[in-house]
Parts: sequence; structure tokens; C-alpha cells
Amino acid sequence: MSIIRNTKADIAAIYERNADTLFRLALSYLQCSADAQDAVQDVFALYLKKTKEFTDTSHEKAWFVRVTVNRCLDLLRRKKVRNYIPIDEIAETIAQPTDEKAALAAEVNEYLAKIPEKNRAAVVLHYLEGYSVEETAEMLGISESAVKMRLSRGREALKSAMEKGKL
Amino acid sequence: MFDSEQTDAFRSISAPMELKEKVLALEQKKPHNNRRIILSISSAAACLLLVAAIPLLSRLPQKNPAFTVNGTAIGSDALLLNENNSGIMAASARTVQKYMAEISAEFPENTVITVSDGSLELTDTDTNEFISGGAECTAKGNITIRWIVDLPTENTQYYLTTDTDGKKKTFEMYYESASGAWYIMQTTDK
Repeated sequence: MSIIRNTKADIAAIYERNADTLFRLALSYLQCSADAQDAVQDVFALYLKKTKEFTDTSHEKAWFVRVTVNRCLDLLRRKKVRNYIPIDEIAETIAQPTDEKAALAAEVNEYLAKIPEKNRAAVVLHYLEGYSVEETAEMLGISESAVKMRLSRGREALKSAMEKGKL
Repeated sequence: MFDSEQTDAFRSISAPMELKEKVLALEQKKPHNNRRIILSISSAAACLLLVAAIPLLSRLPQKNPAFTVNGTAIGSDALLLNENNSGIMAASARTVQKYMAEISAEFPENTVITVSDGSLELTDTDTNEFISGGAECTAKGNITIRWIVDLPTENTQYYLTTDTDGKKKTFEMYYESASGAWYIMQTTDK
């Protein structure tokens, strides 16, 4: 069984495996590219400080996701955040952006901002990042039934937000 | 929930290049283990001096643990935890109602935490990982302490003691039945 340790080669590999997911997750909470970058950077700083070792990449991703969510919730408690991301700011995070794609991505983040913070990570991981309920439960450190409950509440919040958006 | 276009658009967002540079730069700042030790007379002498100084260094004042509730430090004045019986944990008809107090602590060294009543649940404040539970626990670092006691019916005092390398602190949590308020304060510091 190979252990993933935090040597320089591992950091780069861990970053490549996880950074995009963590950044998108942080963006859904903080609605600001600079703040999301800071949050992800803080998480990696914590990883280096804790000299954490992982048994496999699933274990690794679960740790990073959980700590990123905690960090975002901590930042949200400390500062007021806006509830949308400007389209031009989102466009800077997309490779080969088109006006349509940037607008859609901004719209998705705006909807995510309407979902209660407690339910948001489950919605992002399952519906947008494509993880199964089981994988989402493992990453968030909760039961599968708890994930389903959060997804259900997230859907309700999202449905309400989308219906208001159509008016 | 989201259609494929929305999902694709969301997934097209990627972490900016400058973030990668910042993260990899973090690793550069981390002190590296020096695997090649070059011995010289002066280096050997420096090692001997350090070994001789260790008993003296251990007598230097250590950083004190910090205890806070919702960002407010716990001192010798009573700090209101909550009032009107808020914070009571949900319980079924067959179980005794319980109260949970949440305290943030920073322990620079390994610390033994014991309570006179109830039980503790300790988690890492940064990662939310469970560390330990029970009437006596040991922890180090940034810790969230959840202290769970049976809900009393009259004025009651509870005690939490921390022991960091022989240095003890005692905290008293008390319940005022008339108002349903809970308070906490530090009582002794030995």
C-alpha cells in the first residue's frame, strides 16, 4: 500500500488532482475568485503544517474537500460575501471562455449561492462534480442518508431560486 | 437539477495558474530535513552546548493555552454561555435531556482535559476531525471541546480541569435554574 506523503513531488501531484474541484467548491461558497484562491491556499498550507499522510487518493480528496468546506464556512462567518460572481471575473477562470459559457457558469454560481451553506457542498459534489452519493458522503464525513437529505433540501432551494429567476 | 450545459460550464472553471504558483511556493518555505550532516569540531561543540542547555530551556515560560467561547476569552468573570435554556440538545422521551457547551482551546503542548460530570467530545478545529471522547481526554493544537452534561433541574456547578505538563487550570460551568442561563468562568490557575 503506497502512502501519499507531503514531499514536493506529492504536493504538485496532489494539487493537480484536487485544485480545480477545491477551487470550484470554494467559489460556490465565497463568490469571489480571489477569496476562493486564498481559501484553497490556506488548505494546502494546513496540509503542509499537519504533515498529513493518506492511504489513497480517495482518502486524500475527502480530507481536502472537508477542510476546504470548513475553511469557507469559517471565512463566511467572518466576512460578508456577495451572492453572485461578476461574469468577467468568472470568465478569467475558464480556459477558452465564450460569453455564453461564462454567463452560464456565473448563473450556476448565483444559484448555488441561494442554497443554504450546510447543503451546498453536497449539491456541488454530487450534481456538478459528478460524485456518487457514497463518494460524497465519504468526502463530507457524513452518512449517505444525510447526503440525500442535503441534496433534497438543496434541490428545493434551487428550484425556488430558479423559479424566481424566470419571473 | 442542472442541465448538461450548466454542468459543463461549471466544470470549465479551473483554478488559476497563480494559485498553483502560490501553493508550490508554500512547499518551498517549509523547512527541509537536512539528510547530510557535515560534522566538524565546531558543529560537534555546538551540539554539546545545545544538549547541556536543554534542562535550562525547559524552564523557560511556555505559551499558555487559550480558552474562548464564541471568540470571547474565558476569564475570572462569569461569561454567559446562553440563556433561556437555549442550546439544549434534542432528546427523545426516553432519554435525559442534555446540554452542550462548546469551547475553543489552543494547547501548545499535550494537555489532559477532565470533567467532573458529563462527557467530552474533542475535534480538531481546523479539520473537524474527531480526536477523542469521554470524561478524560488528551489533545494538542487548535481544539473544539464539546462538553455534554445532563440537564439539571436546580442550580448546579460543573468543573473542567486542564493539565498541561503539570500546569493546571480549572473552569467552573454553572447553571442558574431561575433564568435557565449557563455561565462559565476560570476559577484557579496553578
